[in-house]
Amino acid sequence: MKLKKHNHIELIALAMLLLCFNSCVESFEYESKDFEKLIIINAVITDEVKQQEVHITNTTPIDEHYVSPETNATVIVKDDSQNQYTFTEIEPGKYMSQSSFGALEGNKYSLHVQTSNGRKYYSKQVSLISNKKPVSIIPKRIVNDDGIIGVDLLANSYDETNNSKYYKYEYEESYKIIAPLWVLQDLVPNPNTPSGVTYHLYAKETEQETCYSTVNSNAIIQTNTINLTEDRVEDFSVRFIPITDMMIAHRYSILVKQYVQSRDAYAYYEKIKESIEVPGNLFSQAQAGFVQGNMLSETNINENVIGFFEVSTVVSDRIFFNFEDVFENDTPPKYDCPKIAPLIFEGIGDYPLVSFLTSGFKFLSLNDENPGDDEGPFILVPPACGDCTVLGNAEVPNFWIE
Amino acid sequence: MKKYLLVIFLVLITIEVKSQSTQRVFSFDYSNKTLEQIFIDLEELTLHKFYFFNDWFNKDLKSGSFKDKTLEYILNSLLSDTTINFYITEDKRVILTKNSAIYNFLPDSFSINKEKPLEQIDSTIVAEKKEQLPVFFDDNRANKAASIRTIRIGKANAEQKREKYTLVGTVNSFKSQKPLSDVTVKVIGSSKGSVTDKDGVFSLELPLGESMIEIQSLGYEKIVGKVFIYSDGEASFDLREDSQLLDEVIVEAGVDKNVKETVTGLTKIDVSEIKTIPLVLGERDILKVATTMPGISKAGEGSTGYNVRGGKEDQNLILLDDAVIYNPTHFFGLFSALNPFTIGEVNIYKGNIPAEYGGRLSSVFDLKTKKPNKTKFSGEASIGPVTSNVSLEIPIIKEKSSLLIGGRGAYSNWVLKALDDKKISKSSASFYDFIAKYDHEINENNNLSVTGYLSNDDFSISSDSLFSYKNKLVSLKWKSIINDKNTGSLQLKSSSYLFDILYDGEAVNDFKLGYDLNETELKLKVNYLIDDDLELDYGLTGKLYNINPGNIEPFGSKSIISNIKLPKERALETAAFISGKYDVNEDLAFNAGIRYVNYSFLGEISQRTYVDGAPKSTGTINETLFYDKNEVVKSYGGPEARVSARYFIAPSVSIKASYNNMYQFIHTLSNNTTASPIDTWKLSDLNIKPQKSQQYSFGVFANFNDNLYEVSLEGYYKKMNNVLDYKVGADLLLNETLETEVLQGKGKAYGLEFFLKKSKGKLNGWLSYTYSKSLLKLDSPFPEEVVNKGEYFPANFDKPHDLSLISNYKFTKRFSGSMNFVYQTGRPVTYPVGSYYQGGQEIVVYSDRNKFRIPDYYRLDLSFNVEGNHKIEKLAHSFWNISVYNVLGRNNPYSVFFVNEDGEIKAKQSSIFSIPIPTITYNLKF
Repeated sequence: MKLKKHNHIELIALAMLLLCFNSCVESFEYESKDFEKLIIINAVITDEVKQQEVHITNTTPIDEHYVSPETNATVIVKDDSQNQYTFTEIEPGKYMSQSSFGALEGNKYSLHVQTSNGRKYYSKQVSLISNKKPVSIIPKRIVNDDGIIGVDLLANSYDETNNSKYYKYEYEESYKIIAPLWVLQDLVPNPNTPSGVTYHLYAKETEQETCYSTVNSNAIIQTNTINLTEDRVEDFSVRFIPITDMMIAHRYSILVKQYVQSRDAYAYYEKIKESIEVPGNLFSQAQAGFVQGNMLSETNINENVIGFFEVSTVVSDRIFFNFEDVFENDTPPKYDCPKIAPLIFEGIGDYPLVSFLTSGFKFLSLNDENPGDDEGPFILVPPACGDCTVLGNAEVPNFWIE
Repeated sequence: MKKYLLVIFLVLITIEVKSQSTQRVFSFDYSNKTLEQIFIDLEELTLHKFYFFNDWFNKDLKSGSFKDKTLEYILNSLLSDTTINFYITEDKRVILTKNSAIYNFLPDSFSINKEKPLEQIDSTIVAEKKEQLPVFFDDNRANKAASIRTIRIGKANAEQKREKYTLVGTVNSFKSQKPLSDVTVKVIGSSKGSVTDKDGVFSLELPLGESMIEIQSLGYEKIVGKVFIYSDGEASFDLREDSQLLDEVIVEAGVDKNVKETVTGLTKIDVSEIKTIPLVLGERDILKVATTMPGISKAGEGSTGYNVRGGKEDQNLILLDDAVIYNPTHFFGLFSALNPFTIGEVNIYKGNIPAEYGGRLSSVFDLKTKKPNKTKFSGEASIGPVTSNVSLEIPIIKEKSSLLIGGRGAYSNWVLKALDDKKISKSSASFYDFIAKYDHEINENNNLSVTGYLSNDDFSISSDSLFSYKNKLVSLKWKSIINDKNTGSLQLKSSSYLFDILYDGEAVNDFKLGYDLNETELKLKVNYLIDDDLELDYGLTGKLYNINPGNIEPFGSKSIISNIKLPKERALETAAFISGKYDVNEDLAFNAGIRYVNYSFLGEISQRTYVDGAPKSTGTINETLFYDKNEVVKSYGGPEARVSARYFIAPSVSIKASYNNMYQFIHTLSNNTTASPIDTWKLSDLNIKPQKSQQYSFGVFANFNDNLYEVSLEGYYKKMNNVLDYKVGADLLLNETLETEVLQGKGKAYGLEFFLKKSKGKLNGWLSYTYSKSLLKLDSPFPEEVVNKGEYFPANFDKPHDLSLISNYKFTKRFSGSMNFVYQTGRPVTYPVGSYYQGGQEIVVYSDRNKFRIPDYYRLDLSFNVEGNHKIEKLAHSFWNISVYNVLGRNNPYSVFFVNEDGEIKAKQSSIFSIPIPTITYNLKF
């Protein structure tokens, strides 16, 4: 009897302990204290010959979410062969080189910025690393650690010269959207008719069945091969998409850019990334602090300057796949498209059908099979079910291949 | 008529016996039995228990019978022709005592009245005889068992002119017949008295005629004697050892130690005292109790190490039977890895550290295991919700050698696995520790003891990683009493700490990462007692470090991780020390020592030099130097002073002051705000300098109300140099050029510690309060090596106010309640000062380190204790503890951090025990 009691208590205590270990992390309202406005200067000059970009912004208080651009700055990239590339502001905080150029191996580059109020910043000298090696992307169906089925987009690259070692990825993903309950006609109400509201069915004038959407990556994705016997990136997961994501329901394409970084640049972004990630475990919290990049202030050496000036080789790979190419035996995700048949008139000033139509609901069909008492004459579906432009753009992207 | 000039009469006085049992009468016969057999029969018949030694009796056979006689009568007659006396107690025990000094006769001539004419004496003899033999003596002043003797010296005569005569006496131990020294002899009713010398001799002037004297010594029965003195004379007295009938003797040794000791900043923990303290999850934890003492704290509940007087976690020398334990905790520091049943003594030096210890800046935790019982098998066991614990003390050769073993294991892992929750079942944790100590008394002067210890922890937070760490140590100690003045000890000890990280995600980058450290030390120490006032300790010690700073190897067939093994690091730390304790007078005492330490970092290894005038980075390596095996790469060291003094300003009030400086050659590497078990230890090398410190401390210590209350106030100021810190986001594992990530700066710490303790009474416990600051300064000509603009900033564990109240109230002997209350200032954290977008993702910017603090910490724990009943015959003694940890359910944040969730920054706080945690523990002592 007694032993049983022990077990019971022990279970409760442990359960509580574990409960705590797993869920004693909670959000709290944080008030921004001591806001310091700092400048952020970021640029990646690639080996591609193009108009290169430099981004200059400022920090904002932590509880405010907007971009605070640094405008009207003078931006120059210099190399050690006495070349100077001047940048002009094309939109607030975004500066583009007046001429096209690409970073060359053997040259040392530095960035020089002077703000409109006279503060001067400069970068340490950086140079291009190694020769270019191609990257290939492979989609693969997996079940991840959390038991979720999805597609992993895996990067593979090999540098037999063993020079690259540090890699950063950016991607741009595009996908086809098909409105599942698309019909030819639109139902259009005319509230100005003298005898109340009249409804017309018109043929759709724009493409609403098939659309496309393109999204850019917004995370810092990096890997390295320093602990490996060869400089081989093998099946590195650049992106994971769960099977339930509508993105991959039909056809999907991803363009992955692989940048080769310097050790310092890699370390800088790694630290930035760590500073916003959930700590490895509850018991040890990484020491937070200011992450120093390679941008420095000429006017005030005590000023904290954020950002990194990189030169990098870049390679890319674009792939396309259909849902069934990756998921042979799985069912594709579907939109939830409930059908409704709102009444035309429900009381003085209350026209449910008009309300639904103006909020974007789409016509599906006539409600002609024994409509109930509270049903109207037309069947409607939620906007995305009948019109793909709600989610994307009807124009076929120029890179798109069916 | 015979004339005796000097006769000594020793008359035994039988003892008054009033107990009722003696009024009962018994009848019995005996034939051809020895006295021993007769007593055994009597035990049965009278239901009294007899106490005696068999060899007191001869084997003569006796026969006889008694009818309706009292026990007293029976015994009197049985023992009439022996030298044995008896005493019957009220609780039906008969105690026999052997007394060889019984004289059953009276002298032919004696007088009790000097006025009486000599001629009359003969006629009075008979009368006196009746009066005197036996004399029943009823005197409250005398102990129940006190013997009254009458001594007559000389004889009275009319011509006596002197008023005083001298009695020279000898006092011997009854048992051994050896003279007893320092026995007090008092004349009752006067202030006169004397003390025996080393030959047991005393001399006392007594007035002519009758006097009462009292002879008394600790541990012996008191003798009261009636002396009739008519001339100078001699007498001898035998003192018997105190019988068992005395009340329990409570020897309060060392109650005033805190005031008397010369050393400052010493914390002692009475291991037997802590069992009533409320527990978290049933684990009795010696080191957690230590954190309730002034000056000792922890960064938080889940932090692995301890912070002593503003020192970092790696600055404590934690010794178990003199061997170092690198990580004395289980489960991220929630539990200590020391089995509480096996620890006998805990001394924590945080101020003046004795010269025999060195190598850590802040403290020495000197933990000693119990000396196992050499006569009786005994043990202790406990059942708690997290672990079960057993310890046994096993005599091997009676009175000569014994073994102590203790084992503790957590059974959480299977419960964890059994729980039907994906998230929980993914993580696991289990641990155990084992300790064994063998103690051998080789002879009177030599003692050998061996201790072995192992602790192991496994934990995993995700399904594909497994962490484990281990402490191992062996310590061998040979202690020898060389002569009256010199005691020596030779110690050989070896400690290891290792951890592994296994990553098994069935991928190409699966790996196994390992780290291990070993140190082996040989130490010789001699204690030389010059005289009562001066004592010297001196010795030599040598320690060899061997560290594998990390290796990684592929795990599984798919893995293409390359084998990397950082080169082994070796170093030798040697030291010579001498320290003396000198009592100048009763009030003033000094304890001064010096330790000269030398440290050499040894090859075979390669080391890098860096370009001057540039921050250390892989890009600024000047040259790489190679050193051969055992070649000295770099030596550090110097003298360390350990000085302290004590002065009594009042009988129980003392002031103390001390100064010491220290070196530390091994450091932990951690880029977390709190210490964790996978922090690596790094030796000082060509580029990483040893840490140094200097501490000044001062204190006032007082005891009052008969040592019932103990109070102290201590202050300290500590300066540190070359304290290690790291660049933000430093990569510390498997980094061969670690010096490029390390910053070394200055530290300073100061504080005031108040301690009040009541150790006895129904309500007992202690209150400790510390006000302290611990600051760091990291400055450099290079901006990337500067933290907080080169100004002093609070260390991660800086908690200015720290208050602990530990109390226990005994309702009855069996039931008691305990309460802990802890309050601490929240520890410093670094908050973001702004944010920006990087490629669509919001990033936070942190500015000055440790500028803000997490909310204050407070916690109340309660416990209720039930002792099993105290019957002596009971086979085992049980103890229940019902505890509720964090009764108020205070959600004390352990850390505060900022994460990016869906592209937006969210502030989060984590806590470890945010709800009240009840536990029941059952302890058993046998």
